[in-house]
Amino acid sequence: MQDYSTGLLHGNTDMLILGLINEMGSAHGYQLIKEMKNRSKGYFQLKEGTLYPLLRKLENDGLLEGKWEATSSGPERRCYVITNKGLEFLNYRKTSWQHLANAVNLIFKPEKG
Amino acid sequence: MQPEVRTYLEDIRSQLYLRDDLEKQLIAELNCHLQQRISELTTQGYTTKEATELAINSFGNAENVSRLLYEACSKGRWTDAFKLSLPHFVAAAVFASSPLFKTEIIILILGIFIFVSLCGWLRGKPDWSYSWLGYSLLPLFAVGFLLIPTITQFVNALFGSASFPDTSTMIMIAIYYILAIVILFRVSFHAIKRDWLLAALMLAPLPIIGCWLFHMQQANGIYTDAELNLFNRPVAQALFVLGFTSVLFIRLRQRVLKVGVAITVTAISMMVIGQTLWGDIGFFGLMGLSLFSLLIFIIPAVTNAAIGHGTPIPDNV
Repeated sequence: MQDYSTGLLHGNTDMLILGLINEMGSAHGYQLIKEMKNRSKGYFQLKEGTLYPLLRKLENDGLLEGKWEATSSGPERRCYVITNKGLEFLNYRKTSWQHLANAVNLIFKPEKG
Repeated sequence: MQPEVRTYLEDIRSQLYLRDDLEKQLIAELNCHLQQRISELTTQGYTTKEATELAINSFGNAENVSRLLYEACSKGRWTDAFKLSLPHFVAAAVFASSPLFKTEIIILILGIFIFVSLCGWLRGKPDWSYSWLGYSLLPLFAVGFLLIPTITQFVNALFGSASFPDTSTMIMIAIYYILAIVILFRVSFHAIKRDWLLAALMLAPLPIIGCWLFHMQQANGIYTDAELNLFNRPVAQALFVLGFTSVLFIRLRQRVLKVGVAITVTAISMMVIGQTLWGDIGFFGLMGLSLFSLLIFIIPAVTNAAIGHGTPIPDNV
């Protein structure tokens, strides 16, 4: 069962990350991990070692933009914001996901009438 | 920075094979995350040592993180692929086309190669500059090759079977070889520190053109145009394939694929050149040439293992 959930997460991590950054406006890696865990009530627990490569890949693909920001204490942090291309990609993925989820729900619980 | 964090981040950095500035950024970002996690854990009551261990463990295996980061960041743009492969395609065109294969044109093209690689070297050594640099080493290599008969004469004179060459000539040759070796080693060292695979691709044209030079020297360069075309063709093909390999080097994400393609292509090119220049060289001849081409990769890889890659993490990260 765990493998199935992990597989589902693996294929959609980019959509979740983009969605989360879009909701938050701007976020750094540490915030993203905590926020994802909190919002999903612990269901999605992304490993740090996989988050940063994914953020860089999304940035290289032009879906995110990373900027260094000074902090009041400690070293600078790299914050990410979604780009227009990222927003288009996110909308496309969200729509596809919605269609899939609706279709799956119809199979399990068909509409009456 | 905690010593455990430094060791962990250094493990990641040493296997990244990315540009120095990008590696610094990535390490700074990972360090920032680890420090936040350690700080959070210590406020929850963990000791610094326990918090550091937990933070590192939750990040995962260093080798795996390195591989994922490399795959995320190593794919260059098409313009970078074009710039890296361009000198290979130009050199291939020179060998493939009789009108271009003229001394003055070759000197002009080599001059351009040297100028572009000097510009690249002075402007932060971008990845694409290494292939231009490889061709800029060709004149050094070729002149060294042409001086071999004088050295052979000197060796023969030591055994009494020839007269000694002029002393001043021998001194000049010795100085030339020392300078050429110093330049070759210095450039190769820098390239290997950046990425041993990039260094191997930079040096790959040298043995390919070296085989051609060796063949020309054996026959004292006496050929008809038709024969010259025949012998130039495999060199042109090998350099063209090398250009294509450079494109793959930039565009592929997985390092294991990059290494596999580069080794296979270079070995096959060397075997094709050997077959064309020296006829049927047999199984052992082919094996010898493929092993020779493997050395182009093994020497930089072993040197890299000894000297390390890139710049270690500074104390002020």
